[in-house]
Amino acid sequence: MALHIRLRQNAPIPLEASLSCRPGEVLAVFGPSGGGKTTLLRAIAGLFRPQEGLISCNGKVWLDTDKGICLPPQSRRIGFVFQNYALFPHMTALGNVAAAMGHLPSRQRHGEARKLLTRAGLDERLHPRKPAQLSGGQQQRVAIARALARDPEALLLDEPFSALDAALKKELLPFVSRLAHEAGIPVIFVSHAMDEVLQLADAIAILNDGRVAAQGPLEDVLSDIRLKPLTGRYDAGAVMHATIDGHDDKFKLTILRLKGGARLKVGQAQAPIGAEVRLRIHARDVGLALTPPWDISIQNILPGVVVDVQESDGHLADVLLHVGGTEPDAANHGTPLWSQVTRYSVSQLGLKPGSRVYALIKAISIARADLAQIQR
Amino acid sequence: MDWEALGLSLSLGGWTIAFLLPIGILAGRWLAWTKFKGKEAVEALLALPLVLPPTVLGYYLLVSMGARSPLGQAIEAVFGQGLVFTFEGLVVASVLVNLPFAIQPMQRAFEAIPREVREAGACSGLSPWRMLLEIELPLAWPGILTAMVLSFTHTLGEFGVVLMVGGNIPGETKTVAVAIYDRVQAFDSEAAANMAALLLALSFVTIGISYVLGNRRSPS
Repeated sequence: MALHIRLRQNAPIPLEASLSCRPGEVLAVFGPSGGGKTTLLRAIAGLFRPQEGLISCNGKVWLDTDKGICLPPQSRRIGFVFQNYALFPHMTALGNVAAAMGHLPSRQRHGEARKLLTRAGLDERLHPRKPAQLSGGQQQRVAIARALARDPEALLLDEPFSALDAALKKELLPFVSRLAHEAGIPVIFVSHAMDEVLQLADAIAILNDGRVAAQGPLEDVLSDIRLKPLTGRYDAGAVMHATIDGHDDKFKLTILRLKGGARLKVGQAQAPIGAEVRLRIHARDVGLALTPPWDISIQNILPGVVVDVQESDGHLADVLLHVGGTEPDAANHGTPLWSQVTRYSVSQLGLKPGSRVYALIKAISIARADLAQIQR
Repeated sequence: MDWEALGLSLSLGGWTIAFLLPIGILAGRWLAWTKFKGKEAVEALLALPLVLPPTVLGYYLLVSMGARSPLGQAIEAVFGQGLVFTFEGLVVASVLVNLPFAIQPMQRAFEAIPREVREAGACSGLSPWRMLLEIELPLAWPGILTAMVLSFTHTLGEFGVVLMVGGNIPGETKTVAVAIYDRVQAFDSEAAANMAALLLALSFVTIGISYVLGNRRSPS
């Protein structure tokens, strides 16, 4: 049932990728601009023919260069959301969605399109409007509804939030996440913004110079410090699952429970108790101490064990620790956490694998963009 | 006033754009979206009637369609008559002369459709035929209309090619533009003035319509 992609070419844009995406899974293709992300997506859609490749979806072969098979986009059941939405400018919002319903008898199309647009959160009053009379966010809703209108077997989104300002993006991310997961089909979206990836994706493939440098579940890949040059210096951090344990309404805080039982206070999050969230803690926001400090404003003091220390050529060092696991085997049961400190600190504290430390994390260092509720 | 000549001119204009509409759409789309070696040469060839003296064009058409040319002989064998000095010959000449007036505006109109919009059409499952009817033509129609109006008006005023290929046969090849010349030669300046004024008014109205429609579309 899954979408399988294997591509290879040297020119005009070098590309070497081997990816899979299961139904109901959202795979982020992440990487710097010009890294071949959009080309990869276009090849899946059939808008671009790679030199060598094999793409199949739901058991159907879409591309097999060895056998000379390359189906046009019309014959691949895909939904594609373009970066600038590429709505049909002469059609109404409703017309845009109905136009993609060629598989339905024409008298059913408008009714179905209306339902789909309403599900996509576009008010019925706006259905007769043309794209130019809609805001960026409303256009995106139309574009997503149009992409789903074909009843696709895979959904592809090319930088769907890059044309939106930060406030709109915040409003639309949870909506897109919910819609993508509800669709129950493989969803691949391309992005160079980590906050979008955290909020939307279950798995990630990092594309660099056209080559997939790493792929796997989000938590595994983003916690792999060797990928820091690719995931971005300031995006370096650990990504982890947590459960909402409680809210402190008086001080506007939320308490999270990490795997292994450690608790973490962060600014109040809009998610019910028991909800699963994904959380990123930037390595540079994590300090280390050998004994738990008492008179300190930092609320989150988590006991842990050092697993790995990587010193850079400069003044920095990255320390991987596991926090909150059950003694004595914390390294295997806790939550991985990266800390970036100076090499001087590593030397002063004598940090090495096995050292027992306390991770110090300011509650306010975890911004709202670092926390995302997981849609299931 | 030579009403027969006016009717002939309008008929010639009508037939010309009837042929040019499909030709222009096909050629305009092809030139707008396809890159190939020698594209500039093709575009230059199609633009030639814009700069070439009508007599030169008319001369070559006369020679190539004439009874002594292989093409002329082939046409005569198939249709039982040649094209030179006939209304049908005028239509063929008029279509060729008007190629740039028809193709260029259409090519610009198709070029103005963003690539992503066409790709979105393909990704929405629209067949090439539905793409043409539901996306491309509705978006390109101001350019197509301009092309048709330009070709039609230009046909009404064409003189040199008509005279070379068609001659001056009343009811067959004598168009208004030729009739004006004919009347001036015969010192019938009243008839010449009437027809010239009519042609002027007709051209102004048709071109004016295309501008009005074009302006109404442009804000979107």
